[in-house]
Amino acid sequence: MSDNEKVTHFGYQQVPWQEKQQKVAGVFRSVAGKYDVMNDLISMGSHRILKRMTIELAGIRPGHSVLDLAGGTGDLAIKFSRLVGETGNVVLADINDAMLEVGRDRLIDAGCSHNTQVAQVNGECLPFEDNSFHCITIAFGLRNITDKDAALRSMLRVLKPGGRLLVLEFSTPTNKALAKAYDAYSFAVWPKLGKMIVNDADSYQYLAESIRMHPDQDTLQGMMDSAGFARTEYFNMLGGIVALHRGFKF
Amino acid sequence: MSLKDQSRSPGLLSTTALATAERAINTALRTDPATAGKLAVHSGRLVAIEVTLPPLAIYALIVEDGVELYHRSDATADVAVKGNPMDLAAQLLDWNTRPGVIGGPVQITGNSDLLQELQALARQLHIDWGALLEPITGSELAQQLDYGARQFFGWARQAASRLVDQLGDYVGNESGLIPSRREVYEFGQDVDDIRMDVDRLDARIQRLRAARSGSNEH
Repeated sequence: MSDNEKVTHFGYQQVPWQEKQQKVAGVFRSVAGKYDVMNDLISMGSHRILKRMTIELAGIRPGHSVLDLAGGTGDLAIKFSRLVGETGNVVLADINDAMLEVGRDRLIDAGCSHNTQVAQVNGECLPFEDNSFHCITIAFGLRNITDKDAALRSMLRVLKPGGRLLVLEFSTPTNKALAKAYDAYSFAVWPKLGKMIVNDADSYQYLAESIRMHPDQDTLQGMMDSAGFARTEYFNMLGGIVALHRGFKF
Repeated sequence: MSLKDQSRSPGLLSTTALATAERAINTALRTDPATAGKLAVHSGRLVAIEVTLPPLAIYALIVEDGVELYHRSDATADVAVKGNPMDLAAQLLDWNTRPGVIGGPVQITGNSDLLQELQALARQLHIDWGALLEPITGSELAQQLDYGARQFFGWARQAASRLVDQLGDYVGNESGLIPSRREVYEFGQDVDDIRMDVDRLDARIQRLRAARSGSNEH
């Protein structure tokens, strides 16, 4: 099957393979200005705690090179910039120019411009040399990439041997009652909040749907194994609503 | 940090507690720009605090606008302090110490000058409660609350100091749980006396043994 005939999901819709990237870009252009406010509202602040837990498992030391992929508004990149210090380097990368613009401004405001770079990249074909980074993080971003297997292979290529990938992403709740409550909350409340705050209910309807279409914990771990990552594991957070996957390159 | 440590799942509650503590410290620092500015000079330094009971490690990274707290770090700390929570608090916040009650030994490794400078900054920190409360209560009430808070914390510090003194007196003099300096000295003297008595007895036994073996040979 040629790329022109292939289809993929965009939320619950089936769309041509080539179109998903543009559609996702449209979602993030629409919400970029109030992305952090919306994240705080829909997660009730918990996304900040989940990102802290990601940072703690990242094992960043002064002098390290870190790629924060799909880094959007830069909240992880700011923390990494401080952890790697003067001798380290952080790249804030995202495919979306509107999100990167917000992230770049936040990095400058936080005094992090001395050891950070901003790059507009496609996660499926990262434009970095082999073995460039000690750590790659992708927080709530893998879900939106069309070819996740290609993206994982690309991340493995640019990791240094001994380096690690951390994928923080919505996943599958481990408890049925929690799953029902979470479904009710996300489908009923998120689009309404989106309508109120950014005048865009569709983007948050897409968010709720795309989470359900994303591979569950074990499937994603298998995908990381297939891409060539070693010692893969995952940590369920908030009862599996979010999972943090980790894998190493050896 | 060992691989075993790295594979431990980070705890949601403990991470939330640490985030709350970090927020409280940074909010306090924002109300005292002079101290915050002096702290910012040490930006990039890492302080490890290891509490022995309950076992807990906290890493404080000093950044330009305050501190960031973490439960784990792969970086080498500039200075590490280890001890029980009360002894650490007494050491870091310069509380009134009383051997046997509070202010016991704290293990310090690394740059102790940095630790002393941070202790001095903690003592100097002057929280402007008025500035914190003004957006909520308005300036007049905020000033009153600021005054009240200063009075309260001043009283609380004095009360805590008195409590430590009285506990020290009780534990040291009345309960008999902790010996006084004189009692320790007398105990040492008694031990020395017994040791000398035992040495003398041992010498006498050796002499008697030698005399007995000499008479048997005749």
